[in-house]
Amino acid sequence: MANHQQETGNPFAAPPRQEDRRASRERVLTLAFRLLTYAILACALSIFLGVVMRGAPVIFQAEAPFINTDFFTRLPETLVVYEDDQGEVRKLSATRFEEMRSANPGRRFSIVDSYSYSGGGILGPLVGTALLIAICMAISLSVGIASAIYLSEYSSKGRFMSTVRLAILNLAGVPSIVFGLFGLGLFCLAAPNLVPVDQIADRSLFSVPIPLTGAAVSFEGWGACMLAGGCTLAIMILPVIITAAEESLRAVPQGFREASLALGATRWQTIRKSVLPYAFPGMLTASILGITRVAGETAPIMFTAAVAHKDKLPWIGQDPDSSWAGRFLDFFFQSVQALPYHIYTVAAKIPQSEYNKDMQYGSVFVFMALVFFFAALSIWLRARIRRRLHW
Amino acid sequence: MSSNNDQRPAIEVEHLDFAYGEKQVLSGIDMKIRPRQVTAFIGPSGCGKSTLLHTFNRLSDLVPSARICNGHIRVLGKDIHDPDVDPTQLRKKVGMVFQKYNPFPKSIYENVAFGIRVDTRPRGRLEIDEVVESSLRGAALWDEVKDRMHDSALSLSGGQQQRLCIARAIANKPEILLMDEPCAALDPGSTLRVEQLINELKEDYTIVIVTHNMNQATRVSDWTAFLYMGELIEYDRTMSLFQHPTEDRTRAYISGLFS
Repeated sequence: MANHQQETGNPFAAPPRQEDRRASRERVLTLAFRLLTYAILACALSIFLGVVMRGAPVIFQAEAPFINTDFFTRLPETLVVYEDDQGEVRKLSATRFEEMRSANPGRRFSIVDSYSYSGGGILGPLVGTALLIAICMAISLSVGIASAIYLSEYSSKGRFMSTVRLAILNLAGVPSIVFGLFGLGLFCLAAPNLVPVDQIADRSLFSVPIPLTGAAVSFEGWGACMLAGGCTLAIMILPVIITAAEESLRAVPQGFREASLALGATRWQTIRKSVLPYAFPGMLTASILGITRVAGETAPIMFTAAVAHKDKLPWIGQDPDSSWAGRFLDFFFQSVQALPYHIYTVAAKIPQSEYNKDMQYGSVFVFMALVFFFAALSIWLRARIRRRLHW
Repeated sequence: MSSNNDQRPAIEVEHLDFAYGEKQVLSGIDMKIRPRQVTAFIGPSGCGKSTLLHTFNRLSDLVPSARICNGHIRVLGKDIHDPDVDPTQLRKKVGMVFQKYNPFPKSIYENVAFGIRVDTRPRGRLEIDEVVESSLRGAALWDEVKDRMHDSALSLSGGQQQRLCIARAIANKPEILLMDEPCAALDPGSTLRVEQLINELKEDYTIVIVTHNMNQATRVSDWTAFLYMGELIEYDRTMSLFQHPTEDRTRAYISGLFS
């Protein structure tokens, strides 16, 4: 280098050929890294665009009210493909088809084909997913925040605590299908349930009659139901909630705790008044992101809660003679439809044709829009609260 | 308060040995801290002066491995490690101001009212207003903040935030105020204000202040204790200690031979 400089007398001269080759290798590498990074973007965009281009036309329409209301207000039903008397092949959901047939008694329609679950709308799956998320978040937030408080504020370092942390970390790595099977075994088939003595199921592990009531606590599980699915999802998402909540708690300056304690607050007062409020934004963000993950899980609810077909919404058709508490329990002890499971059904379990594409892409589009909405909401909320609570 | 009580030391430390885990940080501390006086703890970093201060309100309990190996601390005549001592009640009587001013990210008003809000006895709005005002006056902050009581405490300057922390501490009507390098994070002007405030506060409170700054010790304190390697080397009236130190290590430290 020094030689080169002496020869030319120009300290800013371009380097000789050998160094030039090194520089071009550098450029090639940079380009390769850049292209690979762009490839990720391309994947995301192609998924996104593919779903939007095929899904948006299902949801939006040209005439008022501009949104396909049937898609959001009806339960999934059979899609009928028929040929009318003009010889044109059309499709309609079963109910609409019957309506039309009875409205036009003079005309002849011949059914060409029918596809299960591909007609109607996705109200059932939407409601079911919302309920599953609500149950899951209620359980996982209360348990998760409680254990995060314990881990961050009360526990002392030691071998036992590091084992606990390791367990939490491992829980996060368990495949979701394993959670699904675990939930099936624990909640659907073995959890204690209150049943009349004469109706104890054969599968009951054991049962303890409660004297004078005619009922018994039977370890026979709850069957496939919302509660079982919500609990399974809650266990699955717990590590995420605990880790995020603990991080949010640790991010609260130690000075707040010291100041609070030095002012005569008890430990719990300190946590409640001087730590939790400031950890709240982080926990909120984490839990909303948790919702988006839980919403998309199919495997954990496949055996524990979700069914492909349900001809009513959960709150319809409850026994009116039953007590308030009985109806409340019945509500949570029924199976539901769920959006991811519905997508799985219409995409993989029924014969494919051009006629059921609408239901497939429409469902996926709505689902992705919801997930985007929640993710954006969490980012917006965090920014908003951070502005108010900064230190 | 009777003259008998005035003579009683506010804090008495007796043969105190204190350790974090296996590491002994204080050994054989014996001292009496006079009421309604300012006592300064000086000494190089890591000499144990902060640790000693934190034992007076048992805030040292928070470090899981911290323990008293030997000796007693009596505050207002009561051994603070007796089983019938409630640390929260102790901390109401022994307030503390920290090195890094740490107001809560709440309003100025709510910061000062915090001690009342966590108290077991519920109090009315008027009473809280009154305590907040008198505490802010006590901390020489009232005139600066009286029109913006519901603004965030974090909108105040650093010096104001530290005086707010002092107001917050005296709202509990403590007997003793512990100050852990209260001016370390402040600029010279704010430091001066806090030092003036300390001179006013000693009319009503026993003040123990940890400081790195020997000039500050001479400016604000009546008594000075020099700690070195966890031991109390010398403890005397501030004037005597700085002018006629009896120990070589004290002399070396105050003349700046080591820090």
